[in-house]
Amino acid sequence: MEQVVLYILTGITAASALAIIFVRQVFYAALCLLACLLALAGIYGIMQAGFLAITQILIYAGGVLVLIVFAIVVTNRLEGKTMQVESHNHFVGLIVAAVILQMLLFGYHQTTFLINSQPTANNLKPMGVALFTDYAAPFEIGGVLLLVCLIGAALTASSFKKSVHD
Amino acid sequence: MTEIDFLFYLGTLLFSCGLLIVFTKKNALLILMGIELMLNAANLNLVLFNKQQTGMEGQLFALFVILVAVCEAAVGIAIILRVYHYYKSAVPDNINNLKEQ
Repeated sequence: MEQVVLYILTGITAASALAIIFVRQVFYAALCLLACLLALAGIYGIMQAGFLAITQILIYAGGVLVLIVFAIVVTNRLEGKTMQVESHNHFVGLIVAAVILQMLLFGYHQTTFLINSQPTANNLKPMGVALFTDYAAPFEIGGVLLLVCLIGAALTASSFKKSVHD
Repeated sequence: MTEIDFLFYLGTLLFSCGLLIVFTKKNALLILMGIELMLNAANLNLVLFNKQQTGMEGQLFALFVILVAVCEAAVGIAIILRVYHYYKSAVPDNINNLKEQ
């Protein structure tokens, strides 16, 4: 049962990631990305990373996607028509992507992994303890980074005055 | 082929999809989406590595990757909005001035 759900979620993720390449409108691409991120959250849940699954839904599907859709709406109004995405560099892009895919698969086949089958289903408490003891410094630096990026984004996006066409 | 193998293949596919989007699309927002896709592929790999050992390091690292990705998306979208208002253009190739004219 769990395996069937896992394969379905994998299929949804791969299909929506491939659909972003072929879709013509930016808004549809954002919806495909949303489906991809939600299916990935499900995969995290099955892979016993429940906290990451919740974080993925809250931050990616709830935060980043809303930001992207907001940016699409604002820039749509600016251009006055629905945005069509054009593409270029097909040949070079395909070659580079295929080479990177081959390299990653080669590296994966070269590696032998330790298989640890002990279940760690309830890992919320050790994760919280680790965040506030062993990983306290990155946690605090992450908080400072969020503050800095909040101020920087607000300052960057505010005060539209000049334009090249005015 | 076990399910872990399957998910590693999914991670490589996601990464090359993101790379292809970054290379081929002529829209700054879609390039940002491609970068998010690549970061998610890295996160999936970290979660799978975490499943193969006893500690929590993989999941914590993935959490910090999500944090940095959110910062990058916020600042990136702010810059994209600013650039759209200045150039009235969606194509990154048209953005070719370093200072105001």
